[in-house]
Order: sequence, then C-alpha cells, then structure tokens
Amino acid sequence: MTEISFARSFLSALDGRPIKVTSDHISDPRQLPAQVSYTLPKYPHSPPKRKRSDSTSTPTNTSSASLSVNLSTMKFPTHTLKLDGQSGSTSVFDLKNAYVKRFSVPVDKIKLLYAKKPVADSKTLGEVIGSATGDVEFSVMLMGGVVPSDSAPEENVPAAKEAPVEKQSKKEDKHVSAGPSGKELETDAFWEDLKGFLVQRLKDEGEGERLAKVFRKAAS
Amino acid sequence: MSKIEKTIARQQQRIKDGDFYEAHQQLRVISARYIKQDNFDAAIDILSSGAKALLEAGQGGSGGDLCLLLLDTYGKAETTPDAQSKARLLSLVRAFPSGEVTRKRFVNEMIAWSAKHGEFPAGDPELHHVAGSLYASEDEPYEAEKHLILGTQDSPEILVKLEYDWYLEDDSHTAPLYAARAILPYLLTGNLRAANKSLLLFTSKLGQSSQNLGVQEVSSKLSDLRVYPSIPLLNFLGLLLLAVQRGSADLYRQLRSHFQVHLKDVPAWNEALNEIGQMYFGIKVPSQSNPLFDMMGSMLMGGRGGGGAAKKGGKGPGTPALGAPGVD
Repeated sequence: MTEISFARSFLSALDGRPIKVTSDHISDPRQLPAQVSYTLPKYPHSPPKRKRSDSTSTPTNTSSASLSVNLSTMKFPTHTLKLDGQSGSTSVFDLKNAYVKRFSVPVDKIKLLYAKKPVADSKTLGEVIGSATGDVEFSVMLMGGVVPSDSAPEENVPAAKEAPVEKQSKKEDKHVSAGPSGKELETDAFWEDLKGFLVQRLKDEGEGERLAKVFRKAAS
Repeated sequence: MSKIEKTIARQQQRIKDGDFYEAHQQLRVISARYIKQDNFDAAIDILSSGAKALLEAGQGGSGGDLCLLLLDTYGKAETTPDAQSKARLLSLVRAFPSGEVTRKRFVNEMIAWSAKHGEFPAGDPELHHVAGSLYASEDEPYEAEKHLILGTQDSPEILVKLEYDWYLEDDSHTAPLYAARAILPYLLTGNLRAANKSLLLFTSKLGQSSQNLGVQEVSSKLSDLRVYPSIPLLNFLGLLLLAVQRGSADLYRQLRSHFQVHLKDVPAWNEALNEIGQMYFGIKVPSQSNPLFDMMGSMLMGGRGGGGAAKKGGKGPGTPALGAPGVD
C-alpha cells in the first residue's frame, strides 16, 4: 500500500502550503502567444486510433434526419416560427437568422435557449439536442426591449436558409432607450437587458429572471 | 430578389444540375469582379453560398477552393471574427465531405485569419473547438488534440472521450498515458480548470467500465484524492494537479522522485514535466526554447512572491496575471 501511504503524506504536506493558483484557474487565452498549442509527442507503442466505421458511434446527431424546430417567445406567443426539415448540422446561428428574417429583429438582440439554458451560436442542432428526434423546442429571448415586428400567425417555413425575407417595415417601434442615467432605470428595456445578461452569465433562465426582479425592486 | 441573390440562385441551380465545373469557374469570375469593385459583402455572399452548395454536392475540391478564396476575401475586407463571420466559416467546415484534403488547409487558414484579425493570437477558441470536434469525430487524435487544447470550456469533454476511446484500443495498464494527453497540455496552456475536468472525466469513465480497480479515497484536512493502487501514474497526475495549486518546488521534486521508476517508462512526458516545473514551481529548465512556456511561466510566476523557489529565483512581484476569467 505504498501508493496510499505516499498519497496520504503528500496530501498533508500540501495542506501546509498556501494555495497560489486555484483549481479552476484559466490564464487569459488572449495572452497566449501566436503559435500552435503544445501536445504530447506520439508514444512509440500507441496503436493508431481505429477509425469508427459505423455512423452510430459518432457522438452527435449529424444525420440528415428531419427535425422540426419551434422558436417561440413567452412574451409574444403569436410570434412563433416553425422550421421543418432541419438537419442535425444546422447551426444555432442559422436558426437565429431565420427568426431574425421572419420578425425583423436585430440578430445581436436575441438569444436562443434550449431546456432553459442559453446555447452558443457555433453549436449545431445535433450537438445541442443530442439524440433527441422529432420536434425541438427553443425559446427565444429578446433583449433591449426589442419587439418582433410581424404579427402574422404561425406559419411553416420550409428551411432556415429559404425563410422569406420580410419587409423591413416596422409596425411597432423597436425603441432601444439610451436616455440620461436615472431615466434609464425607468425603462423596461434596461431591465430586459440586465435580465438577458444575468441569464447568460448564470446559464439559468429562472435564476436570472428572479435576480433581475430583485434588482429592479431594490432600485425603485 | 437582388442582383446578387439572382446570381447565387442561378449558380445553385447549376450545381443542382451537376454542372460543377462551370459553376465553380463562374463563381470565381463573378466574385473576382465584386472584389475588384471593393464590394466585399457581395463577394463574400457569393463565395460562401457557392462553396456551401458545391460541398453539399460532394465537390470537396472545388468547394474547398472557394472556401480558401472566401478567407482571402475576409482578409482583403479586413473582416473581424464575430458571430456572423465565424458562423459562415463553421457551416462550411462542417459541410466538407470527410477525408477531403483541402479541409485541413481551410481549418488552418481559418484559425490564422482569426488570430490575425481577432483578439486571440493563438486563434479563436470557438473555431478551435469546432475544428477539434470534427477531427475527433473522424478519429484523427493528433489533429484533434492541437485544436481542443485551445478550445472552449466544452472542449475537455470531447478530448477526454477521444483519449478514452483510444485507450480502450491499447493495453489496460496504459490509462494514465491517455489521460495525460489531455491533462499535461491543458496545464501548459495555463488552463487548470480544463486539466482538472479532464482527470475527473477520464477517471469516471474508467470507474464505469471496470469495477475492480480497488480505488481508495485518501483525504487530508484540505484535499481529497481517489488513489488507484494498481495505476501509479494516474495517482501521479492526480497529485500533480493538487501540487500545481501550491507551487512548492520541494514537493514537486519529491513527487517526481517518488514516481521515478514509472516516469522512466514515459520519456514522452519529460519535456512537459520540465516545463510544468518551470511554469508552476519556478524550477529552471537549462535550455529554454519554447516561447509559449517562457510566457506562461512569467504569467504564472510573476505575481507571487511567496513561493520558496520563486524567491530564490529573485523574481520580484510583477503584475498579477492570475485570476483572469476564462472565456466561456
């Protein structure tokens, strides 16, 4: 049991020293030098990695299996976009773009949530939903008081890239306020932005919403 | 429909009809015309939709050629990496037929573009993550490692899965060799979080597949470790991850000498372990050649005056580089 006893004595020796770098430390990747990363050299004995031939073992759902995606937002229940015939390789950014085209909202003012968690633009549908099939529900979070500008009822659009380009006429004023400080706190837009930030940062829709309410109440 | 949309639709139809050569040539000519007029947006639209259509039709060569032309145009237009410009590249890189040779060049040039025009000199982490994931799914471990080490917080999971699957093809006692392929490089990029996560993910996979490892929990007042009596080098990695947090040179020396017999079997770790000694413990390596380590070393050692070795080295307290938030 020399392994165990060494580990035990080593751990207690470590206890006596101050922590200098925490276990979740990440050096700022912006400071990394412009060069290829360091990786370990090949081991002489290592077998070359066997190629998986069957597609079933690939980790993500990249098949062309037809997925039906629903993009909806709680605040504007009529502004729902259903995208049929999506494949696992459609990116989250493609989905956002389809919504943007349909309801004329600025692309940087919306976020998509899957199972209440914000998803990154660079992910594919396959990576987000795993092995799920059939209907996929995303909720759309609108930030900065942005209002989707088409009140047409839900309709089917064949695929993200073929979504019809909507006329840019804005039936409602998508007013993003930037008033003098003080006034700012009275606008819904400000609090929506804050909520958006919190949800994204905390990766939790419920908690973000709750905190935003707490802050708003405290500020008034 | 605008003129550009019409052009795109016409070429897409041509590709649908199987007239690949003609479509490829025309897309080149038309985009060149727009570039000459400094209408980069139009050229980018035409090149990216044309490349996508060709790639989806299985035309890796001509599609890849347009992809490279697109990056060239990004360069001329001084396009910076943002959600839109990256999404365009990522949807192209995913559309390549697997095994197409041009893709590797496209991946490398895409990273180089992001390094030159963005805020990450080693390349955009999201682009690295997607490229690494693609290589991982195609069982190209060396290429995958290169990118996933510089990826996002989602990268360790992909990398560990790859290393673990690879380990399963090797002898059962080689587990630590594969875990180290994730852990040591992450340590050398200053990413302790990813290094720790990698060990955790790897050992939990190990625990799931084999029941008789005889693992034992060893705890002190402040630290815990799962010890594998039959896999010494796995314990070495676990203790190393705890030791780097303390940065005490004497303990690092003690650790390496205790595992000396086993470490002798993996000369491939030597360079990495020496560099880790320098970066985290202030133990000088005689010939320093890699600027990455110089840099990481000064970032990690610069801000602390407490460590014995750091004091001996005469390094004064510099700007603390620790505690920089990671990018998500």
